[in-house]
Amino acid sequence: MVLFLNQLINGLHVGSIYALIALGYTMVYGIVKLINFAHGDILMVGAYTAVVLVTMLDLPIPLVIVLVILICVLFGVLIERVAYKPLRSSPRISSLITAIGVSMLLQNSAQLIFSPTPKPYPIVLNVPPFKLAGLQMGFTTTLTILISIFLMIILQVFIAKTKLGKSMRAVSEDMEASKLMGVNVNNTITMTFAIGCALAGIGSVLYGLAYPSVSPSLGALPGLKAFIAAVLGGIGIIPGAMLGGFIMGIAESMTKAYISSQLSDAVVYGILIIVLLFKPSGLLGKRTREKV
Amino acid sequence: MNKKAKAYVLNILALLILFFSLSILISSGVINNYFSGILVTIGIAVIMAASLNLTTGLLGQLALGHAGFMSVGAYVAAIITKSLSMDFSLSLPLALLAGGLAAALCGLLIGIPALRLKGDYLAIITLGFGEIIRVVIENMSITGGPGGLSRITRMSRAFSPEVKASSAVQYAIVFWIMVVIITSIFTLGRSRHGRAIISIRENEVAAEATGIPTTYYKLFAFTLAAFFAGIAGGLYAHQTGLLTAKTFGFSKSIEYLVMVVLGGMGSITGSIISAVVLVSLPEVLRGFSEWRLVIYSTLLIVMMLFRPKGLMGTREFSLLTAWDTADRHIKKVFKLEQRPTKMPFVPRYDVWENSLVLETKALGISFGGLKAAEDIDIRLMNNEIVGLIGPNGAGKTTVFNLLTGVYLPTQGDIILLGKSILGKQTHKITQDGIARTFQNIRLFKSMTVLENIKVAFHTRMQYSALSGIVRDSHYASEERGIDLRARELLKVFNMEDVADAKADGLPYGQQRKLEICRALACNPKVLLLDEPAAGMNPIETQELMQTIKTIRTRFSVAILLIEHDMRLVMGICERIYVLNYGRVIAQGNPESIRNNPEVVAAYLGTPDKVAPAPGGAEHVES
Amino acid sequence: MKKRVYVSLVLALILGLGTLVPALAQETIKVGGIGVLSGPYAVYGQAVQKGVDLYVEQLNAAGGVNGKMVEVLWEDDQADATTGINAYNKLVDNDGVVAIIGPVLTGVTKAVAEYAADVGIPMITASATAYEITTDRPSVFRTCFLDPFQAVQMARFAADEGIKKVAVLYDNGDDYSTGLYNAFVAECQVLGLEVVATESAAFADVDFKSQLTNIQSAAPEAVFLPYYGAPAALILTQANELGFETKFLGADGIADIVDSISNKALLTSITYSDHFSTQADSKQAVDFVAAYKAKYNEDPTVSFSATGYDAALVLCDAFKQGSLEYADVVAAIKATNVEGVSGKITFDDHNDPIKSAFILTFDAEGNKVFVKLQNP
Repeated sequence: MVLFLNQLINGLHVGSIYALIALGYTMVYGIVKLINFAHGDILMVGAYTAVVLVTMLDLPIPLVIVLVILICVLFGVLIERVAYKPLRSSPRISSLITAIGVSMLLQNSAQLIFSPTPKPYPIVLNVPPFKLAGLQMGFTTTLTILISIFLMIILQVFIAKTKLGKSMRAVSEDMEASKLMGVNVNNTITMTFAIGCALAGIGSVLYGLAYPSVSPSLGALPGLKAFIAAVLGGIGIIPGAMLGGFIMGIAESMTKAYISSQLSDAVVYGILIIVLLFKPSGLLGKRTREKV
Repeated sequence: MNKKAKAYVLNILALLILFFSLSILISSGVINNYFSGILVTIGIAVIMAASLNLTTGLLGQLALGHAGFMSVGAYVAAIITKSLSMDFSLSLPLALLAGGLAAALCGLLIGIPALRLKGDYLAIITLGFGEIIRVVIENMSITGGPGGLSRITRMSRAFSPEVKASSAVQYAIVFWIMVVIITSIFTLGRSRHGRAIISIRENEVAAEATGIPTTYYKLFAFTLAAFFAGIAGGLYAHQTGLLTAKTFGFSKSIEYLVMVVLGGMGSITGSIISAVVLVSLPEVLRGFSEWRLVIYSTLLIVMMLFRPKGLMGTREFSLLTAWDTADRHIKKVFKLEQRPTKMPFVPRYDVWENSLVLETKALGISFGGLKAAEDIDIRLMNNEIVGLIGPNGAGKTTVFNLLTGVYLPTQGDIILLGKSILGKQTHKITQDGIARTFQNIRLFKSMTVLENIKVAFHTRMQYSALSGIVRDSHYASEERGIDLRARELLKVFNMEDVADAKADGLPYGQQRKLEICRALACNPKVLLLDEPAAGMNPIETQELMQTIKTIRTRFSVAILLIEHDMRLVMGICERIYVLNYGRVIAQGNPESIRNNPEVVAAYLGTPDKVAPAPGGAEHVES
Repeated sequence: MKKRVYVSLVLALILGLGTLVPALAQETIKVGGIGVLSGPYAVYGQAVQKGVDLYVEQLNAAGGVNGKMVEVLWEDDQADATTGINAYNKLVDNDGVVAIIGPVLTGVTKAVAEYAADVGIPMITASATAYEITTDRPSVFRTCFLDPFQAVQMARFAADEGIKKVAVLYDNGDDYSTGLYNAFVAECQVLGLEVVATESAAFADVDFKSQLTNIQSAAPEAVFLPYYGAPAALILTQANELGFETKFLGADGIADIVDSISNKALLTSITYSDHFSTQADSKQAVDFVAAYKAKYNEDPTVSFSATGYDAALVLCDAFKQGSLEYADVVAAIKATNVEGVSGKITFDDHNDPIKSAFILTFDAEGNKVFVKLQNP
């Protein structure tokens, strides 16, 4: 039983990181109907920023974290303005290919600049695990889960109560109508990207604490899994991203623990396929019809 | 010989010279293993890019797991040549074919669920399947597990103890397989089956409504692409002699996607050029290998931003287009037996002069709690022109969608020519006799006017895909037939002079006419027109009214039309149904509808309020 | 458009004709070097390259082989089999090399070895440890020990330390890792060690906590990790997070773990086998370390620099018998009996060297510490 609970906690840990990244995917998809393939790579950008700031510039850790978030936001906004905005009215296939191109560009540029040899993540939390209700809780694990849940709650409140949050919801529903209502659509979209990337930036720190190896392809797999999580929960729906993230994390950990680690990748993709085939709108989503 | 035939012969000669010169250079050792290996890699890449182009370019669906099919073909072919003890020159073709078929089977199994999705979701699900294939292969022992399969017989060694001679044979095998595959994809694209596939890319809804079984063709294209990829995989396996599952991951799929995108999605020539360049360049620029991927990804982004059509767009090189015209000339020159022109089959509808062609009984649909249409009883007699009017949101287009099978009714029935068509798929309903136009014009934009019409003849043609690929006499005779018919049809609409213009280049009024013309080419008994006069000025509207009357008599169709232009409705409709909030609130002849108080209140407005401007159209704001 | 086809055709002809130019008369002995010089595993390829180049430089300074200078032409295989094969073809057909040193990674080596064995060109790999590389390939040799060998040594080391219960965590998507796992478990059976838990992870996985949690609950005294340095670093970090304290054992892939971990104190818990140690005390080793440091301004921390040096040594020694014909060089290599930098080198029937394994661990600053030399 204890073993089971420990594995569950492992799953929640992984899941919270997926959830943070999934939020970025879901918000962007909700508002511009684009799968931002490059979102996972923002995680990598954040990780390398930390490497550079700590090892080369020797800055204090709290400052590094703030800068990491800022740089991730900067990258996100830049990518949106340069690569995605011009294609907003183009066929979807163009945006999708561009997103793939951006992802490849980020990964391969990092490879060129930093060399593909993995580097150690410079921020280390060396706090021993503690006991909670008889279970051994790792410090990083607990911190990650708590921070993720906290951020998700704040985001929900933000979307529901603030003016910007309302604009975001409006633009998601109907971009044209929002424009007519006086919403600055471009700024809203940019802010959405910014928030998503800020979350990814925080995610990169939490990720680096747990998996302290930085390489150019760091963001590819977590990015894909987080995307699957977003789809699972219902793409475009924020609570869906959180739900999807946790489910994915737990499914992955449980498969590894009890079935077979070979299959964990297959299970992950299998979940994606099953969701897409039977309920493409996701667990919390609603069906939409194409207007004929 | 005239110029076109000359071009054809010249180009075929070029192909043969290319083959023989390189072949001789290889077998004499002038081109060594290094270069011949690169030529083979180019050949394989061309096949992969062209086959991916079938799915992504011609069908228009982004598929991200194409390397998965290559790996299935590679492993199956390798396992076969390793287990069979027969001579390699016998086991190799068997293995390649088996690899292709295995990949095609995977394509079919994956396509059936995946192709129900569209756009982004389809891309992601194909990515997922590609990765699953990789994981499965990596974990089976028959495929060598993570260590992979090694000591596979290599074509460059197996045909002769002399490496040079064997390499020449390898080159020949790859070269001619590549030529056959590319030509097949090209000729398929120009046949009726290719037109069907391209129409799906252009506008899937319109394709289905024009009678194309879209699900079937999506699967067909997807499976065929997988088949070719499987053959490429088999060739790859017997070139390198070693297979590891990791080689065929997402990045390999992307490599081929880049080739297709840069060359132009829909252009086979483009894929050939980019495959040649993108394989040879890294070898030439070995010192800059780290920059290669950075350059590719930047190119991808820049292409999408500034030239999304890629290098060639959807155009093809003259070598291949010359085939078209050359075909005709060769036949003439050699006076080959021509089958008599085969006209498309024209279904005869057994209908009496004044009988009922279409009837709905208490037809309705609810979306959740919303009743979009309820208790609709519509009757359409043979050769009638009936109007369907009402305020926006009343449910008029919904009725059309119900009639054509786009929506499944939640209540009631639809009877066409005496038989219920409830629950039938749209393309079947089109084949049964209902054709339609759309509120927002849905033409196949990058096709010519003539090709738009030809798509509609698809279901009444018979020649198989194989006939289309090899261009036999069945293909020739049927294509001639529909070419004549299509031009005849355009003449009725005074559009025969724009037959070869691109559909999206036409002025608005002609686009509308083309859509109606295409619907008529389906040879329907019932024609549904959705706001045909939208955006037209009074003169065009007058013309349209004449056209509709002409159509009714000449083509013997019953017409049901949705319109907001009251002059047109009152002018040509014999009967009118009025819809409001999903229900029929009135029906009758124009006079009775005009004066019906309920209709006036809901939609028309009182006659006093609407003073007709001198000579102007009476247009009701809704 | 037509023009483009013809231009490319002409270009292709020119490229092809370019090979008509005969190779220059051999005043230098050309040797081909193939290795992974770019990408995540570049550190291994570069180590081999540095070792080989150091030896060749020393040899040429001392007069070369019977007066002729030796030249090594390097090609990058980018860790891809097809690229490696192309590199091989280029070196042998275009550049006219008489022997091949490399490749570095097992997968690429398997592919290239097939081609080398075909024509009988002498090939020595300094780092590919998979058994089947030299099977049925008389002209293919290696100067590093094999995976089965080092796994066996680690099992014996554990037994010598008095360990009775072990567990294994390996990568089921990696040939190297799976091979080591199989050999280790087989030897444990022979030695009577109990394998209390076996867990595997997929290639490129970064999260091992589920597997570690399972292993932790089985309470082994040591855990065998047949991994490369970067994933091993992750495993150690996550074990620490879980409060899992145990001894870790590894093979030669662990050697570069120090570059992948920030919390160096964790490294004291892992012991591994390697082809070389900078603390080795043989004369050849000491001289090598000094010369390496002088030329490259760093210590030869990756052991493949030593085995690379030895590969070049063995090859050039074979050249010294006079003939450069494939068969003669191969025969000479087979008869090798030298004191290499990484140990004494003689070859068995399978073209594998009969060598010892260095057992190493780390101190809290991440410096390598020599533990013992384990002999076969």
